Amino acid sequence: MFDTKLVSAKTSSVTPKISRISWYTWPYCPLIAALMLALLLRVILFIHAGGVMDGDEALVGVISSHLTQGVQFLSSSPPCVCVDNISCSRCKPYY
Amino acid sequence: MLALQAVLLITQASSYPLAHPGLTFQTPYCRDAPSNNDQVIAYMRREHIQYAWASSWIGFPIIFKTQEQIIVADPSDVMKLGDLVRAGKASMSNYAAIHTYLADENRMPHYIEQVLYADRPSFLIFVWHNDLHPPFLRYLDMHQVMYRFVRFPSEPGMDILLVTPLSRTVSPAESDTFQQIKLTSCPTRFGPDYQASYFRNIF
Repeated sequence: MFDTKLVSAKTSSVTPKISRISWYTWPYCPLIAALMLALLLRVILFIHAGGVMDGDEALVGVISSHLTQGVQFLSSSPPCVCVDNISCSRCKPYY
Repeated sequence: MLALQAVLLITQASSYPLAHPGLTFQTPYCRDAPSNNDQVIAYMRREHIQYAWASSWIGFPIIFKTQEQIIVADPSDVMKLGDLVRAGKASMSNYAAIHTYLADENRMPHYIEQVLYADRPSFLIFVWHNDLHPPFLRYLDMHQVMYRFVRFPSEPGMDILLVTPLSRTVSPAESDTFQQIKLTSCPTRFGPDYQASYFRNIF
């Protein structure tokens, strides 16, 4: 009898009744709304720009396509693409 | 607070439609490369041009889009190699040494070798829209090289000139003129008046 009362008291203390609507539920969800809006704006921008790809992005694409084709590397070190001239000395040529 | 956020949002969103489609996603290192190179690729395919020299900002998108059916390499290292050859420190017939030298190029050196040993590879160079006879064509004229060329619009004020030598192979290593005229560099990296003022004293 004593144990049952204790358990009931504990249970009631950990599950308080929420009387107000949480910030992330509709329609009070500014974060989700902001994210969706940002996504929409960027999609519009990408479509407007016509999918421009610069040389560095294309290079990564070429290497990726080699990887998907199972191209083996002749170099003993893993290949890397030097884009910032900082870690170039550690880069090995990509064959 | 909400009104301020709305103003910020509207201000930013209204700039998106005004953004230049071709320049928005260009690299800051070269904003002259064509955002749409479909015309160039279609022409090269039609004319069976498989190898060309060009800035990597032009070349890699073409390689990627054509899935390596067209190989375009940056001639910068070959131009430097030409300096060594003229100084007597290297030979263009020493293929093993050239291979080792080009291996220091950390962006696809095998593309450079493919174009270097190709028969009459083309050149894709940046030219100002109002420059009707750029320095590279003057060089070919001076050396009596027959060629075919075609212009493609790139970004505002800038064209891409596709030159195909016909009478002989033109190597980027054969003359230091190519370094002086910055053959495949992006002109706007050096300011809009760079080419016009600099090249006047060369020829």
